Amino acid sequence: MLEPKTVLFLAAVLFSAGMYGVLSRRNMIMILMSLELMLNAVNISLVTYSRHWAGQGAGLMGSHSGQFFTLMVMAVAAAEVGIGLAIIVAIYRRTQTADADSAAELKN
Amino acid sequence: MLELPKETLLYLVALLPLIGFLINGFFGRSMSPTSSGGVAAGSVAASFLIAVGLFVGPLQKASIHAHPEFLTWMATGGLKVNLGLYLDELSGLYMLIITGIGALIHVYSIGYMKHDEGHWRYFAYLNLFVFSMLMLVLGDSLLTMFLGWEGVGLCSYLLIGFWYKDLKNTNAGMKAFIVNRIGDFGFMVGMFLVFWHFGTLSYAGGDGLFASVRESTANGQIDHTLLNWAGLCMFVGACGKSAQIPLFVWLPDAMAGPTPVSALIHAATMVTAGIYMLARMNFVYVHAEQAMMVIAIIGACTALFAGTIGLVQRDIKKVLAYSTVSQLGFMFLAAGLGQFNLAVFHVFTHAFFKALLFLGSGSVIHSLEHTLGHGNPDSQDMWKMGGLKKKMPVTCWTMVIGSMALAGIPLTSGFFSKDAILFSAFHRGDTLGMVLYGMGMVAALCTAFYTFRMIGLTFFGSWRGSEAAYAHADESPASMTLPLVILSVFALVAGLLWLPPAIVPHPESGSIWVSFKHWLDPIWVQGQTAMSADSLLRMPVEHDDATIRAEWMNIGISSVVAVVMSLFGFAVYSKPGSLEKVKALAIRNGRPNLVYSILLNKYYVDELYDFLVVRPLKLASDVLFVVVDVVIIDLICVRGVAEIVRVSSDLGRRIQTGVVRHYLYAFAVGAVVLTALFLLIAQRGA
Repeated sequence: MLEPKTVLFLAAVLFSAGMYGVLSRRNMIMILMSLELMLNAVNISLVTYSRHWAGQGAGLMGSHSGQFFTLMVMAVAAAEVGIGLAIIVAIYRRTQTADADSAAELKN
Repeated sequence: MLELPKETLLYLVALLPLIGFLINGFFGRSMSPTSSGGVAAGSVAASFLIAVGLFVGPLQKASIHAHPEFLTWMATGGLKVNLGLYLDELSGLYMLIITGIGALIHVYSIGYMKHDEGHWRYFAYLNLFVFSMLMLVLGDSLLTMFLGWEGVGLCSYLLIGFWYKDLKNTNAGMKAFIVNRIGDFGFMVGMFLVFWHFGTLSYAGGDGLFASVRESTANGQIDHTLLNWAGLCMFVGACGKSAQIPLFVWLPDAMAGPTPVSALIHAATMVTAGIYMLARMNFVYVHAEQAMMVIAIIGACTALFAGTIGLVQRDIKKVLAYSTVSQLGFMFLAAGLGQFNLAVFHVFTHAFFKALLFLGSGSVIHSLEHTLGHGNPDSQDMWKMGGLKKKMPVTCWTMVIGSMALAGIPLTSGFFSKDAILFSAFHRGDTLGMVLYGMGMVAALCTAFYTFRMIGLTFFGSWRGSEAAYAHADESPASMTLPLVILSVFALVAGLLWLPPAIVPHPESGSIWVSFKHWLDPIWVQGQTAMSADSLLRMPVEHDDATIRAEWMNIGISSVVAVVMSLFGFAVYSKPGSLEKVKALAIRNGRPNLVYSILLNKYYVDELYDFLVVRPLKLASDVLFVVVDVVIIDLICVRGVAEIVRVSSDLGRRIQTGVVRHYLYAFAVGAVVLTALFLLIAQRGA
């Protein structure tokens, strides 16, 4: 069985890679993909904690609350990708580019 | 006659001029001068007819107090004021003077203002003036009186500055308004003090001032110090409205307006308001002996002061204006001596002859303006008149009658009222009384002299102005001379309503000749009974033989003074060429002598006020303008705030780069910082 520490390390690496992508990429598709990476890193850590604290919770969700949260994040992420891609298509139609920096009408 | 309740009729008296004002104010512009004048004169005349009808009632019966509940003006705490009207002998007399003489002046104005393009404005203001004055005298509380008090102040401003294209006129209007406002402040403070003491401002009714003062007197709860102050403060208001020292300066300038307006201000409305207020509040003033003394002294000083200034004025209207100030001084002298009935009697007789004199002078000016042009000062300069008797006989002889009354020639109306006032000062018996008597006598002497000086200069002698003006001078139209004739009849006989006790020694006999005096008695009875028996302010009831002998002597002295001085003044100024001799006496080697220049410049009072009040105020306001307005408000407050917002937003908007990644950086950094803080705090807690 994997050590939680190892898995959390993996999650941290994935999160940082995603964050780097979000901050450094100019293409909006890439930004969206990096964002997915960050969300899934969080999912991994949630699942890890859920396993680690198994049997110690109480109530309806009990020790499995982390798993439920992961499912919810996936659903939200799917919706977010849907909206995000729609926005990107709309911007692309207007400016003929997917460069995030080009949408700077509110500058100053 | 319509079967209306008396309360409704009373409201109608006050409201008819207001309706006239509204009609002229809204539709007058498209009306002809005659029809707008007709509306104005008609509304006041109708008001007068109703007033006469109403008046027959209070002559014998109780007063009318109309105070419908739906006309509540304000109700706060202990103060409840309702726009009620109160008619008794005093307000009734004033109501008749205002509407009666007011109606004559309106009729006269139709002729006078025929060629003025602002006629509708003029008649609207004139009606508003009458309405305000009616509110002043008919109001059933001090606050309603104050409403009218302010109203006449406003209307005097509007009418004095009526020909507003001339800066001099608008300045005179502002002067009247500002000086009146100073007085109004005193009146307000006096009103507050009365409210403080008695807890009410209404006169009549169960909780009104009449009842409240009676109760306080009976219980010995009168605070004499407070009432002295209240009386003095209200007298300051009266000083402003009735042109007494030190607030008289506006009245001589008030002749800048059309001449009928001067007649209205000087005779029927406005200046008599101060006397009305003193007489109305007589039951308060009998408890304020020091204030009364001040009033008597100021009255006598004003009478003398204005009388001497009148001696040398060249402008026919200025002579009359100073005579008004002087006669008002006599009224205040009488009121200050406690003889309110004499003060009101003098208001009554003065209203006729002063309206007559002003309208007469207006007739002269009107006829000269035809040739000299409107607003030409020569049309008012008596040194450039003379011999107008042949051209304007009606104006001349009616003005002679008015002058006789003003000068106090025996058996005219002014003789009886002025003589009674002088005698009451004499009769007081102490040193102050004698001094006041002497001052009054000198003032009367001056009055007789300058009045007939005016007649001599204007109507007799030879013409000294331009030939063209004399050739075209003509008697005024009937709408102007008819009021003169009517007024001259009253100026002659009005005094017979109250013959002095020397002539009618037993007022109890119920003779018609003393009806006026007895008829006003209900107004004074409360104050008279509250006074101590030996008070100097008491109105005399009994006249023993010694008093009557003294009064005969007084009548003799004042008759001789009036007749001699009138003849003297007339003789000096009516002879052709005599003016040159008088001029030579006053002006030697091109320099006027000292007395003459002091009198001509009205004792330099205007200059003194300019130096003491106007200039410091102007300086202070200049300083305030520069320091407070320009620097603090404009620069620091208004522009400073705008500048701070602009500079800070200039800095702030640089943050908004518009690049999405920059926002994300900020977001990520923020998240890291927040997480770090959270961890730190969690660690501390653990």
